Amino acid sequence: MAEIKTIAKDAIVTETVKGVEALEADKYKYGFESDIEQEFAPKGLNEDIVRFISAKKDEPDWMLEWRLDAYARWLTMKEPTWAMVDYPEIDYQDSYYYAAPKSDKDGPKSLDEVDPDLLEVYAKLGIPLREQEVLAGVQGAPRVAVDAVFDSVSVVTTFKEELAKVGVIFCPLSEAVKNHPELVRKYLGTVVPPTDNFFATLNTAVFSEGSFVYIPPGVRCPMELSTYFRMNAQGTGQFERTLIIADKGSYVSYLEGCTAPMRDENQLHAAVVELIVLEDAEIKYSTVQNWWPGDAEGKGGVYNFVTKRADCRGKNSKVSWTQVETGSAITWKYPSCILRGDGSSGEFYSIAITNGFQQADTGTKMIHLGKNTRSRIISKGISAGKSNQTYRGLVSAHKKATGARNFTQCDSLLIGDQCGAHTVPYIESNTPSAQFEHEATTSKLSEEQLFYCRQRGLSEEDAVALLVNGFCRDVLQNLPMEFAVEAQKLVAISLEGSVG
Amino acid sequence: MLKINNLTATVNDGAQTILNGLSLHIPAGEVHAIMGPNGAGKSTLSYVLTGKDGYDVTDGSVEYLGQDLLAMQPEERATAGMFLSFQYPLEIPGVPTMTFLRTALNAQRKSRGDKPMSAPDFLKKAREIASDLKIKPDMLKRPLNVGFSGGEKKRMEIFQMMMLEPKMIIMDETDSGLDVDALRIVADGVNALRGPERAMLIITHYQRLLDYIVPDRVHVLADGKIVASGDADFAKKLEAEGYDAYAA
Amino acid sequence: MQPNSTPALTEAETILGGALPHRRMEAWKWTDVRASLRQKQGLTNICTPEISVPEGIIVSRETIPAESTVMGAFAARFVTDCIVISTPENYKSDQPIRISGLGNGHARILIKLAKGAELSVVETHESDTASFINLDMQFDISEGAKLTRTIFHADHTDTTRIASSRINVQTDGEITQHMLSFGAGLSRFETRLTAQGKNVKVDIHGAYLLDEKRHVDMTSHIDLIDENAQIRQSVKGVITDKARGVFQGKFHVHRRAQFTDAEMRHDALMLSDTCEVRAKPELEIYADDVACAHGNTVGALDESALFYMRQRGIPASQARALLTQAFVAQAFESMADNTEFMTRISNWLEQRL
Repeated sequence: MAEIKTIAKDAIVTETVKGVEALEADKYKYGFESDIEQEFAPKGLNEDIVRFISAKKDEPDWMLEWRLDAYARWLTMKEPTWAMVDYPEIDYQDSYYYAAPKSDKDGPKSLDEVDPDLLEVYAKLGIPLREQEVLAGVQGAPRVAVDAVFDSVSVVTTFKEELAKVGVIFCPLSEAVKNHPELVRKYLGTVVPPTDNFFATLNTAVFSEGSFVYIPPGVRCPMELSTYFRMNAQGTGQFERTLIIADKGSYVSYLEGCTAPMRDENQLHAAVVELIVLEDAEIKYSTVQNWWPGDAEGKGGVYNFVTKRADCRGKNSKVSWTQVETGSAITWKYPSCILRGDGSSGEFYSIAITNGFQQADTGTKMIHLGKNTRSRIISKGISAGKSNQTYRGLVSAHKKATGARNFTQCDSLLIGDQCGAHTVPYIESNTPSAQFEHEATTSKLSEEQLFYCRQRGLSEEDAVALLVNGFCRDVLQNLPMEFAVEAQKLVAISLEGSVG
Repeated sequence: MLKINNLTATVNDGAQTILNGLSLHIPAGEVHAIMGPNGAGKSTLSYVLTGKDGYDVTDGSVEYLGQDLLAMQPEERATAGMFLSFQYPLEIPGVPTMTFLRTALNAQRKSRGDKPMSAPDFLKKAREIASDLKIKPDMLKRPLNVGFSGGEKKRMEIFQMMMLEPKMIIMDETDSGLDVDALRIVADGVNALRGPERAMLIITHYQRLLDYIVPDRVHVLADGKIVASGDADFAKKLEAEGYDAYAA
Repeated sequence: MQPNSTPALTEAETILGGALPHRRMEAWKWTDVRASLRQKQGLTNICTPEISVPEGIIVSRETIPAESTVMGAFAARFVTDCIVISTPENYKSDQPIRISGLGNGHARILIKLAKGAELSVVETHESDTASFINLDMQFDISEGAKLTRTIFHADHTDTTRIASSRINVQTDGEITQHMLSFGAGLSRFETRLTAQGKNVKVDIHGAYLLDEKRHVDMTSHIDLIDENAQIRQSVKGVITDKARGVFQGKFHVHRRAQFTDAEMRHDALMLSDTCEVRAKPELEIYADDVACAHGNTVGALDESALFYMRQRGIPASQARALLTQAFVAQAFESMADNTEFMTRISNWLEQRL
């Protein structure tokens, strides 16, 4: 196993270098627009829009009420300002809250019914998820079940039947509301309540799509599950909501990928992800986020305000968050773990790369409530260009969290003297038997190492990509194999133009 | 001197049994060696005998110099002359070696009703023993074991042992991390302590150390109990044949 | 907390027109001054510190504009003439300035070190009865000057003490600060240091040992403006009973501050099931050729070290005291003479372990 990994990683290094060359002409590979007819709700946000979205989704009354309550609450809330990010005031009335590809009105029943234009979109997306192959059912394509969300609507979910055989439910959230209301009602909003924070509350009111996963007791999900998000329509916000329940003794690995086309204006993305992990169950959640970060002058780009939280409810349950964040103009994101069950554990592995004018404030919260709970945080931040990046994390132990353990390692790398790297950890302990350890370093790329690589014939950019990949190694190793390849390429692409 | 009868010990609240009915008698004046495969329970035995937390004795008894050993606190056992040379000696930042040792020595003397050793006597003794063990004087001023190499730490354990003059010595993998020269120095120190009033229990994976400290008896520990015993030559046989014959 | 209920205004709030720090302010989230002042009398008292100075030091009173901090402004409202202590250029003495009598009320002190001066300041912050103290200090360290600051703090269990220091350091200036605190009902020592010039050297260490319901908050904000600064910060905490220890440290490395070498550490030992520790070791870095690190640990005494010592025959309570003392001592390793601090620490430990 280890050997295979090593071979693959070497291949990755080669691919990284090639990736840089191939993409030189086209800085943001995913920045094309799909020419697909869109159906929009009117611009702006009010109660009628909330009703419109709910009606479009054919939702039951309880769902509509839930949304309206959230909307009423949102009106009384203020946008948070504590993060180290700076952006002009958002006009929430100047955005579309619902956009659907028109041809998808009735929902595709099989692959044949999917708009060929759409398939072409996926073909163009190419590397990240190979979903085009997956969608087309090409032999030898990775066996990854994909739920693809295009603006506000889920277009296609693959491998559904095969998953159903083992009892796994993987479908758009809107479908789950209809087909599995008892599960949705039992779990939705129990990890991130409708009143949680400004962006989560907004999401609750207007979310239009997302994925739903339920893994029954004792089932090890036979393949990677993946959701692919893409913002396409101009002036739209994307508000997806993901709910994953791992019942007792089950296991699932889930991957989320995101892209958006280049646009002059800023697009708003406010998602919510809720994970519920019962006794002895495990969820591995990986994200590769490369939303459009804005152009070289800092114009445009996605505002990514995301609330992700896992509730380890059962004994010995486990959650592992892995994220590779290279996109978005603004990132505000803290995938967290509530370690409630005795012996439960949470992990957070993060690579965040900012370049250009990007600003990222990201990290995690590990909240130790149960006995003998464990958490581990490994964060690697790379700042280049004129970007600023902040690691913000909380590790806390409740009085009853005896025997809790945390280890945190935060490393920041600065490339160039126009960027910033910041670390803001919060540590709160209420029991002497909790053992918390935090280490952080900030440094620059070693000149000696760079020179060594160049002496061996690598260009400066290739050398930087190589060294940064080495710096991130601890985290890259935690990604599922095929995504590790993509992540390494992203590292190279994101740092283009950061040296010289 | 030490009588272990049917000793059974578990860890993790009884989830795992490490020692499983172990019996062993070590009379005063004898040196016994325990050998065995990794995970047989060798280190657990040393911790149970010295009273470390985290091990539950569920059955059996240990009599040491006529006392119920298992009822005693770790420091009471130490004061009664039981010394463990740790497999991985701890680093204690901020506590200079000499301060540590003097505190330990005087605490032991106090509980035995003796007067504290005077500073000049203590220093004289420490210098002599350090010089025998080829320990540089400046090492004694540094915080205990902090920044020491594996071999230096092991030598420091023997140094403490010679200073404290214990009656029952347990050595847990003392030879690991020692080169041949250091091994000889350590063995000379240990051999100098051999005597009719003193017993030793040497825990080791390899026979190498037993070339230098020749035991009276050799036992094989596997699956938590003694499965075979013999004389010093038995160790050589074990080294040649391995432990496979004794594995469950 | 009910969002709609308005807490009764304290006397302090009335005086300040509601500007008193509250827990919803990021910098004060773990130190609730408002709650501690609710019952307090004597919020308008003026303190007259006892100051002894060696020969050659000039003491005067001057009108100095109020500090920008809330608590500094609070002090300035009652103390218009600030105590100003200044040294001549290249001043040296083996005698320190001693400041005490800081037991009640507001006080403002400005200490100016002229070029090349070397000065040692020993401060005692004590109160025998429940009181309120708000001290606002400022230190100006000119080019090549060296300040050695030693702070001892022990208050009555119901005292509220806020001590803010603003320290400006010019090129080649140095400051070495050591603080030992046994806490108060509520106390906060806030140091805002700005290294204006090049080659500034800062050693800022401290320890807190807290029992009963004491609270100490050691907050520091260090701005590095120019090149080649060297910063070492180490704070050790020992907390028992229902006490709470707070550490907030921040290094802000500005764009011009290349070659900064900065290390921050906070380690806390929790000795009871009911004590609390809060820590926020923060880095904000805009210069790329720097080496900055921070570390934080919170937990109980190392059980294996304890067992090791007991195996050598040291009784558990003595082993605990020895380990704890060694742990705290690391904060005072760089002190020229730490015997007084170490004696106080061992006395404290002897009574409690």
